[in-house]
Amino acid sequence: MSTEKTKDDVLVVKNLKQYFQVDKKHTVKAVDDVSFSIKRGSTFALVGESGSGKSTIGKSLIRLYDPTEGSILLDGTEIAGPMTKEKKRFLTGRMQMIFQDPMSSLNPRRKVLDIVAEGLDAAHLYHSAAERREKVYDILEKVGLSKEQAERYPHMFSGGQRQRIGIARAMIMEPELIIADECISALDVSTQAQVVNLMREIQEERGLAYLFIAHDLAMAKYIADYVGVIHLGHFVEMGTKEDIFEHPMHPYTKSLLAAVPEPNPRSKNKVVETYDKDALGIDYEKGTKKYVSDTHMVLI
Amino acid sequence: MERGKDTQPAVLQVENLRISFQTTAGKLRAVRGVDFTLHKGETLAIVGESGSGKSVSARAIAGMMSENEKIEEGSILYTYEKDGSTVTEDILKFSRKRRAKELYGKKIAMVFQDPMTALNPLLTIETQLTEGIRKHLSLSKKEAYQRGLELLAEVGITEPALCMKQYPYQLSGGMRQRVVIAIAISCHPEILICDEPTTALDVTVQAKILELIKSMQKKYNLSVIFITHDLGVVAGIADYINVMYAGKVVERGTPDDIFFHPRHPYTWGLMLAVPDMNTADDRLYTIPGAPPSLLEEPVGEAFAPRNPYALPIDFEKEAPLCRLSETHEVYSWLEQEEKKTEMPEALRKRIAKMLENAV
Repeated sequence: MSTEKTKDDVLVVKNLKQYFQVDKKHTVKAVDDVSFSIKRGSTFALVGESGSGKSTIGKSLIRLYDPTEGSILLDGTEIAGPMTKEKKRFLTGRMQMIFQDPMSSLNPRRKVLDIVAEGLDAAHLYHSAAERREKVYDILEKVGLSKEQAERYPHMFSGGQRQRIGIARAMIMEPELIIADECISALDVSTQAQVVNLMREIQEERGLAYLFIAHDLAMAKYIADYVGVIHLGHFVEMGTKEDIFEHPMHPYTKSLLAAVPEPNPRSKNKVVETYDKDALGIDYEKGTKKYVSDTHMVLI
Repeated sequence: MERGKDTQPAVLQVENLRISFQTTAGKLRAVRGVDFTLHKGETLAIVGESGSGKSVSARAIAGMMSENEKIEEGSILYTYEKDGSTVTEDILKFSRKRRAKELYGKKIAMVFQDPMTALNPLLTIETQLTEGIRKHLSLSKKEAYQRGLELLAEVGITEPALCMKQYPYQLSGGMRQRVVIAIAISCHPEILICDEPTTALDVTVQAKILELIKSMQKKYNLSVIFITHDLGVVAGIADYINVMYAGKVVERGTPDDIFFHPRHPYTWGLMLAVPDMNTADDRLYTIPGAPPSLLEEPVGEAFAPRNPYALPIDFEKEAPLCRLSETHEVYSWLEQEEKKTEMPEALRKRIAKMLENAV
């Protein structure tokens, strides 16, 4: 994937580093020199186990963290570096986030109407209370909730409905990119399917892009156009959906794929391979990026 | 129900279990007449969405009830060996003291979904692991420590002595779940109840924990009740499957019955909602709507409003039991129809593909 072209990329990340200083001697390199780009209207799935740095990337991009180094181009505009008021306004109008746990990401003491309208309030995007209300109703309808439900509180909804509220809150800003951080992991399988389908419908209608952060490869296969596999803060493999799922190259990717439980009682007994990078003699920091094809990158 | 002649004897028989919760909004009927039988050494899976009553039923067996919870009806028959003879008793009739002394933690152990909340954050692993051992097996502190070390090694913790000194926050999610499993098997239980043990874990860790549960089961001939919402997880581990919806079992059978010949529309929906790595559909099937509120007793079949195959009678009367084979049962009005309703085309294709890939 060439990171030079920026015209049809909504987001271009170059050499992003996110370090956390634990104490004077220790620094955690949560994200170490990561580059990727997301095309307009496409879905980029960021896949990895817990502790791989996938959520940290999401939070650095939306500037919940201050990136240690690197460049983040959103619509061609640099959003890394010190935050200014204009930059913040630029960012929130174009990039929004959906969180994993819909219960802890929604304020339990506010009505759905006010939760969803929060972005509008902050950016002063309406002229009257009626207009604000109208905008919220529209978006609630889009995500499959009724306007009567706008007067209720988060605890009165089921898990799947709460996640719809989270999506509505992100959507109301009409962003070009939504970062979905494990947004279906806390839901039942049947509800996961509802939320994923809703996200795809909205994508087709509005042409927005997703950064879909997940540990569930099967779901990533359904929703993604591009997939980046991340381990210990490094991309070990990146490519189109076909590259990753049909022709995985890196042993870590293969171990992730092998671990997906198959809903088939007579499937061949898969042996869960333990991936031990030290035993395989792999050092990510010394690794070089090899392009197998135009789209398919492997770290070796 | 009897499942063929070569099955092991039953350890646990749940019969017509009804459980309700007294809430501020009224009486919530979480479990509405559930029966199932757990045989010795087998894994019985209970599958359903949240709110289907699967956890509530299992927790009742493990004696974990909240204050507003009431068992309205039913029995839980436990069969065990006592002085050389086989005794069957209803554990719901045991006194509280007797249950705590003889059953919980000793004969019946439980593994929870979230190992962080199952472990006490303020106590070391040693304290939490040896507590049950000392109480139920009457071992000294030193002996219990030794036993604890063995257990940790057994569940795959590489440095047991170090782990004993640590607190839960110092362990990763997978390690914590291993500790919880070590605690569960520490007193040689007969029945192990696993309530969504892998839902909070990563795929790779999930696969390893499932393997661990399987190997422990084999080693100790445990009878396992495995609760999950994910049919994908169940396929590799279950010997028998109960599918629950709105507080009732809607279909049950062997994994072959459920995965290759599912008959209830709810089971169809559950299967199609699982993303499949082998098919390339770009749209996931969803079960429309949400599970019903059980504050009011549903009229007719609880699944009818979400069921595209519902018949008029589904809205009036509960479906009768239909025995399809020695192992396979379904509660559905569709089975009473003269013309058999076929499963959705997408599912038929998926099953054909599964059979192709089968060994």
